[in-house]
Amino acid sequence: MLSQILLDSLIAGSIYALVALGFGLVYSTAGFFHFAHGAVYAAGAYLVFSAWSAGLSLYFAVPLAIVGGMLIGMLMEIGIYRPLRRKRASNLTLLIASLGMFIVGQNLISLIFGDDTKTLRTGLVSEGIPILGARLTKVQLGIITSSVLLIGCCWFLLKKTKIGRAMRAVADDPQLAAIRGINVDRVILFAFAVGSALGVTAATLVALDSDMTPMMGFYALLVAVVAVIAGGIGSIPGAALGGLLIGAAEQLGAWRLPTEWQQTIVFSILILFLTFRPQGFLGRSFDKPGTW
Amino acid sequence: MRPRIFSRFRIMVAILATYIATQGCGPRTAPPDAARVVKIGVILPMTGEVAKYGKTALAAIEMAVGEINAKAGTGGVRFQAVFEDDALNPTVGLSAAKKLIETDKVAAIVGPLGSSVALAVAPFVEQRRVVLLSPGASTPELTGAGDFIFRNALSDVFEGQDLAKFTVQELKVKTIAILYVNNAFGVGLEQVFKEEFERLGGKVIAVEAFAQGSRDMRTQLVKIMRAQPQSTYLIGYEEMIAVFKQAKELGLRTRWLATTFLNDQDLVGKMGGAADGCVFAAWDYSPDSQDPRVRAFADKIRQRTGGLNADVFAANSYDAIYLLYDAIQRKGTTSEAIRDGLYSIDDFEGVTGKTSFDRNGDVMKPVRIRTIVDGKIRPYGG
Amino acid sequence: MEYILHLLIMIAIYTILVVSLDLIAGYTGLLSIAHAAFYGIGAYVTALLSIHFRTQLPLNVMASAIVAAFLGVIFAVPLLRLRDDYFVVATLGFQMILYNIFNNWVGLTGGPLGLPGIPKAILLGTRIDTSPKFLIVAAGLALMVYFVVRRLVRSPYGRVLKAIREDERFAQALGKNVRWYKVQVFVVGSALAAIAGCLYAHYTTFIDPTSFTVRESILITSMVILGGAGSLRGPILGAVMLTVFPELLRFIGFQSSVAANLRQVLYGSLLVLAMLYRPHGLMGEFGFEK
Repeated sequence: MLSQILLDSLIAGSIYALVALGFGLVYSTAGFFHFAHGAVYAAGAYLVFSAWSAGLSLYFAVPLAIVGGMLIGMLMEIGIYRPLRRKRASNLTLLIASLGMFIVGQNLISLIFGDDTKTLRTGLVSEGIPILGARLTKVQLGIITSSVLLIGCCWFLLKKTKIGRAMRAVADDPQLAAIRGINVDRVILFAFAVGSALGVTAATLVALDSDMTPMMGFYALLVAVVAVIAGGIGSIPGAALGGLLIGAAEQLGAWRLPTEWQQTIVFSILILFLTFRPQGFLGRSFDKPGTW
Repeated sequence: MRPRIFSRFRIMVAILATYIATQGCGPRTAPPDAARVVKIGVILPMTGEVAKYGKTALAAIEMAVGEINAKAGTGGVRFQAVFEDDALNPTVGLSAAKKLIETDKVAAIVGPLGSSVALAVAPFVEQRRVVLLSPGASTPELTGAGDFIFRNALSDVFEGQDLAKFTVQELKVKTIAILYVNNAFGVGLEQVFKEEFERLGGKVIAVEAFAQGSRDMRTQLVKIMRAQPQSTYLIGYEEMIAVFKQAKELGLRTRWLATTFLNDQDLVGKMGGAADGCVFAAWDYSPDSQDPRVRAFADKIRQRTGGLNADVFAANSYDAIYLLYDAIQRKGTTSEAIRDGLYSIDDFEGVTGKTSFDRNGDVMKPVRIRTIVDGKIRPYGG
Repeated sequence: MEYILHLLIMIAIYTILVVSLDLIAGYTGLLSIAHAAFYGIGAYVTALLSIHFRTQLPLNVMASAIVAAFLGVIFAVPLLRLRDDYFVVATLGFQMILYNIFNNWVGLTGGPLGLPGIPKAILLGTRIDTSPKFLIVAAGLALMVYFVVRRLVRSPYGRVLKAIREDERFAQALGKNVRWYKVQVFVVGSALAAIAGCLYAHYTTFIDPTSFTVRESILITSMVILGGAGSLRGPILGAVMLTVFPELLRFIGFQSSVAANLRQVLYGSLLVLAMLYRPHGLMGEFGFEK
């Protein structure tokens, strides 16, 4: 029994890690809470659904949706956030605009696709493969491996590539990076692209594992925020760690306590971290959180 | 500086104006010109997860009103329906009710579907002596809400008790787990079922809840697996898709029971066979009925809504309009007459079987036990 | 008439909510998405006192405010040293936790079933059982709250708040205990929100958690931002607009399912457009800029 719970923690945590990673990349380079990430997330799943219902196989539908999601994310940056930054908008202004876009996105999905649950399933549901006293389905295995792979790729991206180093420089100090010749706007755009791609991937995995509704982005977004704060802003291992932490807290918490308090546990973790350690597990300790 | 700010402001005003202008188009039943026109207010949820039910109910009501008006000769009673959204929100519902009663001067209101909205609206409607007939609110609290408050939705009390009896007596189940959605519907039904089940000698060995709209119930299912009940009673809406799927994947073996929301072929079709064998208590509407009237109803709903299957709320809404019509034929067109007419109805036959109201305005209907075989809803036979 | 009275009563209730949020967010620069939670606290405290002890309105108002203030202090003291956008996230967490408590603590709050049968308000021995009477009470309270807050923000105290809003470090450098001011304002604003909750409970006589969700908080925030933060009258205009518009639309065309979503799209777009082109809203002083 416990092994199943631990496995479920890993599965949930992997998804959360991906969402947190995407969200965190944008936060560390652009410097604000991109709530609309939740809309990109949901839009991604629905793009897969559209392509798939139109007859495309999943092997085509998913990459198509990822590209679509990237475009949406980049459009948000070019159309809304960049002009706001030009006007020296504060983090709070960006947050509010982001919230507005999230509301618009979620409701557009409702308008176009309807509010009922959609599934990506064709065949029958079958039992998971028994492993170590628990059961795991193929999709769930896919979730864990994709997550590990993508986290690894991101780590590689940020540590070993030129654009990755540029992203870290911008995250550290945008003005200094600009002085050193880095095109900050382009770096931020890139972060939006990668972040959105990660978000869409996570949403697709969730849709394959269970199903999708227009509201799916809301809770995912909240978890991403908590994970990024708990794990440590601006740190890749931090976002991943935060995601795993939330996944475990959710599942283990529901295991030990009455299950209706599951969400409370997640948000209590948020409050605890914000009170005692706003820089998260792996963030560096400054008096103002969110600065590297 | 000022002109620039104002031009942006104008953009916002322009958007608002365009939006308001586009509100001009929308369905509203055409006002008939005969003398005996009875205005019926309709309150339905048009947003959120239950919006689908609002849509099908709307189509059903429009259909019923259209049919009645078409058959009315000169001097016959005609309906004019006025639709309002409650957004599944008690305050918005209350505002809708006030507008319908005050401004539109409706003689009766059909709706709402949501129990919380019904509870918020009932005191006002009762005080104004206007009939309220809900095709969807199932909370037991509505029973004593007033003389003018009716519903042809089955109270949770009946559904919960009947299913509990059936489970103990017919299925011979002794131990059971309950997995319910943590909202008014789920909590209410869980309480009723548990009480009756234990009264009949059964044991409830695990009770787990999940948040409305959530999709990961694995931990709850593992806890139920640990308790090893003979049977598990699932109370939820579309979350049931995820529950059945995850339960199957986890290898949870149990005899599933569920509520009337499973009586929806669209929903069952999304389950990938994972709900096969589940036994559930359904309000009296059979999507698979051979009754020609029911078939015609289901087909027309599918046409009108662009492919959505009729569900029990649509069926109840359809019958609700006809029930009001019947009441008017019996007693008259004033609100008091409609009330008296409804109480006097005896075994009205509609697409949801036979309907009669008890002295509380609750409906007394048999609970149908159904099951799922090969992904299709079937009556539970033997 | 009843319908118009209903709208006016809801406007009065929302006036209290937006004025109190404007104090916190518009004048002090602390955006809070937990306002609906405090609104709910007021409603539940009032409902419970009223149902079990038949208490009169003044007591309910005070009790609601005190409980909200107490919870506000517990929340604000540790969390107000966070930077403003982090603080918003903290308030979001608080809102979600409180909603869960409303929904899960069945023994106290009735859980999802809510609390029906809340008695009408009793003031000085008379029952406020008709809508015109209730409107007088609600409008009276709303006016009181408005004038109190107005007095506050026009005083030297108010100037300190605005200084904190514009440049916190500078205010700190001037010797003002910024943290203490922020806590006070947050607590006062939240207590006022609870008063709105008290009115709501007496008016609808039935409350359940669905009226106090994060969506409600966002609605109140939108009223403040679109009306114009930092001006008191702007948010009231915002409250009127966002209460009346959906109702106006009932008359113009039937509310199909499309309309409800379209309205949300409109609100979201307005927020974005406001931030881009008119962050001060219609009449505001403050646009949440750096």
